[in-house]
Amino acid sequence: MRRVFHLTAACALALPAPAVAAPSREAEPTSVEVTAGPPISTAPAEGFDPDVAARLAEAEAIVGATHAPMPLLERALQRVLVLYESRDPFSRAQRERARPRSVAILGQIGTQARDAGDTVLAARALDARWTIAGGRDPQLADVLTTWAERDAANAPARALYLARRARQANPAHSDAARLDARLSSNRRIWPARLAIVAGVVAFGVGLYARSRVGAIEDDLAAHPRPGDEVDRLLTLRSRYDLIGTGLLIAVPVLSVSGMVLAFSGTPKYQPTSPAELPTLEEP
Amino acid sequence: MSGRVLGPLAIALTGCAAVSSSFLLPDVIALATPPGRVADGSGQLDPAATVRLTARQHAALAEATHGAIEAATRAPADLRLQRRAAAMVRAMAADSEDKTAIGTLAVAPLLEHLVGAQPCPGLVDAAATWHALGEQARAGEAYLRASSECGSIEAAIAAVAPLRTVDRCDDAIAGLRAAWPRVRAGRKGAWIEVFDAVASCSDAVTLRRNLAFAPTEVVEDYVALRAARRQEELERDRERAAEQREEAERDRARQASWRCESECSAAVSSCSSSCTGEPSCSERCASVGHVCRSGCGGF
Repeated sequence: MRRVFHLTAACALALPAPAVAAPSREAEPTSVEVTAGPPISTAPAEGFDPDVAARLAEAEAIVGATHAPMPLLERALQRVLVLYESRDPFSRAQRERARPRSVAILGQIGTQARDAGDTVLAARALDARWTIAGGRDPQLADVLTTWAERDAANAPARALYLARRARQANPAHSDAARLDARLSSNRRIWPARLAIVAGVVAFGVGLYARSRVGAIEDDLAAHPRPGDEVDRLLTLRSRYDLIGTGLLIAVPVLSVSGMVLAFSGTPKYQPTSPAELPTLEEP
Repeated sequence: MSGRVLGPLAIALTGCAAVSSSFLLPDVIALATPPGRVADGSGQLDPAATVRLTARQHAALAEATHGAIEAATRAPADLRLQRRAAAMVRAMAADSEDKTAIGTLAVAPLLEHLVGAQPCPGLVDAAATWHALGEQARAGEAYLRASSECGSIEAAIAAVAPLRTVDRCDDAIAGLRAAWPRVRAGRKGAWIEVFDAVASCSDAVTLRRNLAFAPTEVVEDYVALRAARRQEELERDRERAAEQREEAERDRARQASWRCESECSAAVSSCSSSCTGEPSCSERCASVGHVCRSGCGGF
């Protein structure tokens, strides 16, 4: 038991660890230059610019209400994301200051959307939170895995992307790891191997049966025997002949079937994001 | 067992093994080949996701700009908010090819208020914004006003580019002429920038006339500076052309050398084939080839 545990641990250590996203920490410009004029400070001395504060306050009011409908949650998400999607220097300069409030709002949007059964909206909100906050996000990993399991049969490329993103958000998520392994690997490899091994065994048994046919014929030719014994040996010879011939015919069928199974089971897709993710561009 | 029995038996066993291996080889290869799996990595973005991310960037900037203008309108005394809103409009103009989105913003009232409330630096903010929006005449006029009202040499220089595009170089030069008395008191080297601005709005015939507002010795210094610059530029062009010629020459020589070596090799090969295995003949061919190649030039 202990050895099995050690082997598992060794395998886990040997696997490449999924990267954990970290938020951008590069220094933002503190002022904007104007030709023939003094520079403009990119952020107010304290707090936020009124429009930025208004967007955050509106989003907080929406998520603060109990059972906010999905369109309102969607609006709250859009209001928070403006600061992170717009590339102007004034928005960029206030991101760091707005991070705690944004992370809290996005977490609430994600929780409420998940509880209401809107997995996609929940994933978008939590994905944005993860991009902004960095580190691990088990809640996002749960939602992404739920989405991946739902889409695994119909859209395996998308499901694989979601499973791997879930593993990035939480490398310890066992369901995501299992789904990743299942969608990444050849799902017909064991039936294929079985067919090929069966072909090898059939070849050996077929050769043996054919050799027995030759031995009986040689024996009958070399030794005089009573009629009933000759009949018995001829019956036995016919049986060996039938088995040997049948198995030797089956050999290529089994081998080719195994190879076709192995080839057809190889995944023909690459992990591909859904249209809704990632919510924000990677920093 | 006699050799008569062992021989055929060995042949039969060898044949059997060969047939068996030819049958089983593909199976062994198939079993030994690792099963195909999807390569590691986080994967690729769906084209729809890429389109969405780009569209959201533009939409977010438009929304942020709209919010900035609203905030500036609500706080008319806050100069930073006014200037920030103007800068956001410039960012949006640089970001988007679609000017219809900017057309929906209340830019003109914002800039008028900014200029009225704080002409310095409101005028240069307004000028930069009109310039970004393609309103070159308005931009040039605002820069000229900034130059005269705020005493800014830089504004007079900045007025040249927009006014030149609307064929109003006379106004631009008048602005520079008006700013000239401040140049001496200004920072070092400013006079060269002023003269360069005049030169960008002049031709060979009108340059001296347009520079007539400055003392003659200063103009002469500038003319000498321009001549030196032109000389430097010509020198650089000559060096660049010489480098290109040398490179072309090297290429030609290299190709000629390869062609020569190829012809020598063909001659050696033809010579060797006529030797019918005679060693002395082959040696002669090789030495002829060596002499031939040595004349090809080394590369």
